[in-house]
Amino acid sequence: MKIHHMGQKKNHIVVTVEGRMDAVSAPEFEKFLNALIDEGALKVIVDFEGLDYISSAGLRSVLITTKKIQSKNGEILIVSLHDTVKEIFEISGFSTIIPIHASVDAALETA
Amino acid sequence: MAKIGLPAEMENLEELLDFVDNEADKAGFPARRVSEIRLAAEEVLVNIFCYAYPETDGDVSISCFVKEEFFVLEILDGGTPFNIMAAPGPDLSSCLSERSVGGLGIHFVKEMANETRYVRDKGQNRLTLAFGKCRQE
Repeated sequence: MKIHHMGQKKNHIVVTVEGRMDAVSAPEFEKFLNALIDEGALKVIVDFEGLDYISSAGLRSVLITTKKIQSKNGEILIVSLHDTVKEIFEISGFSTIIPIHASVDAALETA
Repeated sequence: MAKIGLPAEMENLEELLDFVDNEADKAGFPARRVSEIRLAAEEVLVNIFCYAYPETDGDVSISCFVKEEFFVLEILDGGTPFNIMAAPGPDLSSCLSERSVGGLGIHFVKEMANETRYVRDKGQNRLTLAFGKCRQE
């Protein structure tokens, strides 16, 4: 898994995640996002276009970071899910509790 | 039948899953289904890593074979007797963060596998998962 900080787009920090988010790599994602939140980031877009795979450990990390930023009145927007990853979000019921958008631009329009 | 056996440690997760991936791919399963099989295998393995050997070290082994139109995984560990398929959700002590979305991994296994069977056999947990070419929705 690779994570990149892509800079800001309208008040939102954009982060891309590539590869697989599993029980081994999910803690890295959590650490990366936690560091951003601790530095004061309140609006983050997580672009999963390059993400091929996510397991319950990955979803847990997404949930934990989402809860953390929400507790500071911030938000994480998830964008660009592949079919396989989208399926996992749907089966888990996460797609109903975490807003998912088709693209970075689509997310910014609603933000 | 292809088989792999390794210590039940998180550091071996990728190697075990890559093995499963590769075998499912060789069996001619489509990429998306291979990914679903990997997911089921990860959820079972992580559970074993976290709960099977609370006070000792132990191994886990995976056998893969094709039976009729199914890709079959047999996952064995010699740890605490535990039927993952009958469990309401992991609520034991070691993986604390698991609790917030407890049971999700098991839910994925049930969703992804077409058939599941657990037996406790000769001091081992033996979980058999069979996957058809498509997930049954």
